Amino acid sequence: METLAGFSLCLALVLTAYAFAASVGGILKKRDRLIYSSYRAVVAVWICVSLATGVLLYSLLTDDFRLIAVAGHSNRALPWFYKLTALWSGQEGSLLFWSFILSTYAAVAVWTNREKHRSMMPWVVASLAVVQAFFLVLNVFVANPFRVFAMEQAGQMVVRGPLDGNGLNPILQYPAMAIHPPMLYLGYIGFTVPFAFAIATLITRQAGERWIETTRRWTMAAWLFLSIGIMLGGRWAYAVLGWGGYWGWDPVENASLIPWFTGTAFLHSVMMQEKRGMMKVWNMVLVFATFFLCIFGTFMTRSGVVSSVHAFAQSSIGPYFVGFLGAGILLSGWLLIERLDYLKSGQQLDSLVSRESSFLFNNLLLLAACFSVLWGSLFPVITEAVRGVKITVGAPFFNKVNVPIGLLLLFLTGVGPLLAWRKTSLVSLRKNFLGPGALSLGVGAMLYALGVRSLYPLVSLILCVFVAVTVVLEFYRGARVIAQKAGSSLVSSAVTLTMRNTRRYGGYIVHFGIVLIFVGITGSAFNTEREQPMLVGDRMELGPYQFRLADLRETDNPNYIAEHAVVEVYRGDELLDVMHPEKRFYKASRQPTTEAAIRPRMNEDLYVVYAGISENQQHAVIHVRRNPLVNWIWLGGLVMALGTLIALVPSRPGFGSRRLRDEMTAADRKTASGNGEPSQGRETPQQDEVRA
Amino acid sequence: MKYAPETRRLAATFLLLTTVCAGLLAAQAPPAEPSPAIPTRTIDANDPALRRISSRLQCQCGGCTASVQTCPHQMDCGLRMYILNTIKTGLAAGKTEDQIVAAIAAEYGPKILLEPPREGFALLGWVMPFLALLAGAAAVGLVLWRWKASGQQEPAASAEPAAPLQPPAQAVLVDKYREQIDRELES
Repeated sequence: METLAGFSLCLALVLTAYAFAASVGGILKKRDRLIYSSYRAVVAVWICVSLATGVLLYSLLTDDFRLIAVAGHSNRALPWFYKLTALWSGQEGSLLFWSFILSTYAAVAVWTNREKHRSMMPWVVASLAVVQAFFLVLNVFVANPFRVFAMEQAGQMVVRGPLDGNGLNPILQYPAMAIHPPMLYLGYIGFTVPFAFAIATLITRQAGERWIETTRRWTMAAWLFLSIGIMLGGRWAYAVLGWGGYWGWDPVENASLIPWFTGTAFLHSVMMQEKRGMMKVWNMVLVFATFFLCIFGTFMTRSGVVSSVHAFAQSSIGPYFVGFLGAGILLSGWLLIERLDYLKSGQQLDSLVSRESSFLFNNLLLLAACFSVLWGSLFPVITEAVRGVKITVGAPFFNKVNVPIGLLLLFLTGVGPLLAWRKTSLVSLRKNFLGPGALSLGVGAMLYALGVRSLYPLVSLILCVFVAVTVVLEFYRGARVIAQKAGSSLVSSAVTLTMRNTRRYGGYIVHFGIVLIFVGITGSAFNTEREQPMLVGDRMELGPYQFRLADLRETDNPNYIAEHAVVEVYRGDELLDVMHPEKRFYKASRQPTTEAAIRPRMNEDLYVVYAGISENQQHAVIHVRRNPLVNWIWLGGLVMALGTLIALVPSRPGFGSRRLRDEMTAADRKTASGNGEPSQGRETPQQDEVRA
Repeated sequence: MKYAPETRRLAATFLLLTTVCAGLLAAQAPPAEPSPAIPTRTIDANDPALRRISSRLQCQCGGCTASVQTCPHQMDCGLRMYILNTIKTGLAAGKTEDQIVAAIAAEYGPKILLEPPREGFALLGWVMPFLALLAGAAAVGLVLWRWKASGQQEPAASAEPAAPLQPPAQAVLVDKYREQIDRELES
């Protein structure tokens, strides 16, 4: 079966080459049949790669340890669910998974757009085919997942695998980790589609913003997947690694964050092009940067370059990635420079206090954050290459550099959406910012009085209140107008408002989610912890809580041996909970893990770790932490995902009751007849209401 | 030399941004003076000085990028326990935090420090993100200035009396403006 799968991958590579040649040949020779055959080739590639992926999954499920990729990342005792997730835990499987997702995206993108953009689609196919071919070359020649164990027996080569596999890395045996990599991959690879459309637009000099309109949802969906992937990664680190945090600024974590910054910048600045026809070149640069940073992220995590330059030199795939990235960046850059004339746009600004300038600053800060994370992740490698000395760039560096940038971004999240396009009047500024500004400063003063004296947490919480109030006010103002006209409740009016302009109000919900995440991150400034060697029956205190080690137990199952502590949590005399932190020893991989016990609440988590037996072999070392507000991060992630999903739904301008529709139509008519002169986008309070 | 109000406003925005950044950074800079010596005493795992020092050092137990303080391998990491004991001994002997960190860095090399040193080539690591931010801010300033300048030229050019538009051309313009208004109201 592995022969069939290997052949299927080879066929996929040939078909990809055909798709490229047929699409380019078809457009140059003006042969529609050739172009259509390239579309079919894209679908055929998907079938071939799916078949290969299916075979690898089947081999994992049936413990076919003749395959090196299966024996290296699975074992018999592994639950079936984690056997499936072993697909992306190794180099070969994860690169095959890349190819599979890309081929699926390509098939959907090509099939849904084949009749829409006739002149552009062949170049979209060609661009997608180049990326697909790169990954298939890796799958076939460099990291083939269907390599088998072969040994010589009686003068003949026979295929024979070990009796059991090495097992899946135990820290990956966690539900969030099972869906974290696919989400990240769906995000990373999703940006290939807008990239391909951007390239095709440049080559064919498409008029207008068609590539942006076509790929808007692709970009948002990719961004959503990437965001969910990052959040799940944080959640996994928090629950599994046992150090009480969720983000360690590890280079592999950073690899997912870097393209997220440019992707977010692109989602914002693209509005400048849609609304004002500005920043056409910049948007191309951003979509190229996001795509190449996604490839770079895969390279960072897969080549080992982040651990050392020497690891890169030994890595089999590193040079391929560098070659692909180098050639891709040069070609895209050349194409962009070649087409600068076509991208020329009449850029003009009426006022510095406008949405346009806020978008520029938003892009500046997002890119500064992107650069600092990228720079920090690569600086050890640069130092090693230049000076021959190994240094470390860890969490303290990233926190110091990125926290100020993050706070400025949070500030812009509140200010930007309330500024009007072109020019914001003083009246509008006062109306929009006076209330939220005063309220947030009031809350700040209250927090200061309550003892919050550190600068960053205080500024962060003030800004969180400011942004949250501006978002709520935006909903309230719009919903109030609808409620007055339709006689409906504020809540149902807010729903109507959102459905009428999903992108705008979905965006506000995303911003609200960001606020919740910032609140959660700020909470970490108030973490407290305590560690104590304990005998059964001992107690330790942390804040108002008492922790009593009630028992130490041991369990055994085919996958791992676990020692777990039974820790009772008291507040005064009241028993609040019984927690079970564990230490596991996985048999197949012979690795220990720490399973923290978490008591999650919105105000604070209690986080208990059984660190192990003390040096004198008598005491159990128990580590307890109070992590305030950490659940706001996960809640914020959910709200962010909800907002993005809403923004993905097409707006329905006629949404709402019949009475409301009649009222609004009459109001529109009245506005049109009463005010003949267009206001050129300058915002007035009245217009604000009409806009809603 | 007099500058236009827009140019002044632009410069003020730019200055404000950089000052806020610099201010926020300065607030995070570590104190310049070395921490005072701690008198000889018994150090337990919850000692704040022990926590602070171990947060500045990277754990060295194979592939682990966390600090000695937060090393997820806890009691299994022999090196973590050894470094913690070294710190405890140093603190008990009355050494300052910086002295202890310097001694451990001398033993393990600069890679054990979670923050790159602020000297020599490593200083570049600290400086570059802010240089990039400042360069970006300058670029944004320049772009805004150029857009503003072309925004002001537009009305001046159209101030000249233009020939009356023919009805079809007028209709096209009206449609264009209608579309633009619709787009902007929708935003």
